[in-house]
Amino acid sequence: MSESHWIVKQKIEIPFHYTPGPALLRFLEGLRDGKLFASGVRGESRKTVPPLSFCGRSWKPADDWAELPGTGTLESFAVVPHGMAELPQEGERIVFGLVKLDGADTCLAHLIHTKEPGKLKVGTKVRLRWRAERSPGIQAIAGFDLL
Amino acid sequence: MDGEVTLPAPGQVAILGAVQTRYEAGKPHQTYNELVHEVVDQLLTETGVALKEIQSIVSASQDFFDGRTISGMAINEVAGGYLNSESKVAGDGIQALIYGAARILAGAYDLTLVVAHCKESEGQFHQITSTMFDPYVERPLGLDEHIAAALQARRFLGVSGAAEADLAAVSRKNHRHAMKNPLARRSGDFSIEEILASAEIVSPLRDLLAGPITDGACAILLGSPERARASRRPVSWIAGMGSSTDAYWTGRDLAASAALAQAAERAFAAAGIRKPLDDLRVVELSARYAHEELLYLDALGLGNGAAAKARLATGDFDLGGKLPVNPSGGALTGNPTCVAGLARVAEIHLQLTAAAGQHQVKDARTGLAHGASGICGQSQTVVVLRGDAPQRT
Repeated sequence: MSESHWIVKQKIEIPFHYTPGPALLRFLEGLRDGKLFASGVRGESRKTVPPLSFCGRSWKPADDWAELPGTGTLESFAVVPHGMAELPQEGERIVFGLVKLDGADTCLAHLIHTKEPGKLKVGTKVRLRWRAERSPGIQAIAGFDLL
Repeated sequence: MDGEVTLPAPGQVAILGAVQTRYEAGKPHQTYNELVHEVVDQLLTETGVALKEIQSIVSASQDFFDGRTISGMAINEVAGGYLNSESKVAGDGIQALIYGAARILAGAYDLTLVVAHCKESEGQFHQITSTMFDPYVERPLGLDEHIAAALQARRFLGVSGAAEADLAAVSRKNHRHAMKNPLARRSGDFSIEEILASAEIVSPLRDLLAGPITDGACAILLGSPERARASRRPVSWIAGMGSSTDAYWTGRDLAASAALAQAAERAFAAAGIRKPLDDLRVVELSARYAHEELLYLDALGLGNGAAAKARLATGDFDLGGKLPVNPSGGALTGNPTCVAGLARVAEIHLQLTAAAGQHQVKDARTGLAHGASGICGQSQTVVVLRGDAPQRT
């Protein structure tokens, strides 16, 4: 009998239910309503998205909320080739982007929609596209289109 | 300075020995605790230290890669931990080394064994590394370590002006170095064209621009100055250590590493290093991805005003150059998660004790070992080591 017969194959599946805190709850409810929220400390300009309940730098509550316009700058992008089995592929190649949203100081990772990923550049302006059908959580965003 | 930590004076903790397994695509004939046994047994033989003399162990491993939580349980006995004090770091092995050094500096132990292991081949890299990401807004998208590294690589290329050919030059250098390292997982005299034509992982990452799936382990024995004086083999000394953790990956510019600059500043201050490019003789960086090596060299100031890519082009970072970087081949040629940083320390120790064999750097007296962990290197560690006496090849 070959050695490979003795390989023990197992799959660990552990269901989680991650509960949102107050800042994330407001963010997720915003996504549901087609609004993008960031938060920061009152009197400070720095805004984070997804929002945090408090600032780890100034150690103050981050309860100064702002609705973002949904436009931003492509800080970076990565093109997933066809056939990467773990990811859904619907014809065109998947492009991941890091978008610095206008009005925020952090990036949001999401999909970039373009037929020509070869022409993308760091610094390209993009605009958020909402998904037509209602979807929970971050999936309410379909991704970003080039401006 | 804000956040300054008290640093050890040079020469208070010695490295008495360092052992690594061969790095391989898979090690189907050994369980991970047998990997640990292999390196610890060889370390005891080489150093002449008996198992019963070791009462302090710090291990490093990742439960998700081991497929088992508190996986330190399974290696306790083979790491000499039976009825001894064993503590586990769920991060890079170089962090375990710092904890181990602290145990000696505290005066609690005169010996501490540090060991790291990982069998990346047994799990599923995409699924395991996707669990690093925020479960609310990131994980549903399918992000993993490769995708984040590709995003960092593209950002670095866009901001620094480096070209993909510069990344390929890093890969070419390291894979050539690895040809002289019998433990290396992947080596070869690849041309720039071959590297840029290797299979795409996630653009701009390609097969030969990213460290492959690897199994292996590394063990290091730390000792007090008394232990070092009694050692029958050459030792090296920890001259300075520094650690710093940056913002989460979406909250900083991925084209730079302020954390590494700060970690290096702390380690250099303790080690009395003023001009790193002149004062260091050998560097081992934890750069699983080719772009990380250039990014980290820039953060360390080893470009000395110029971008690191320029020095790379002149051969300064080659074995035989002014400051060889990753003469072992480095993590790009295959060191597993958790092991990579500790392996850098092991490699510098071999260099400073003239035991690096074919990839020995001539007259290596001072060297830098670097470790990183977290998404896109959020956490950074620098250890500066010194040899006992001038070494010859």
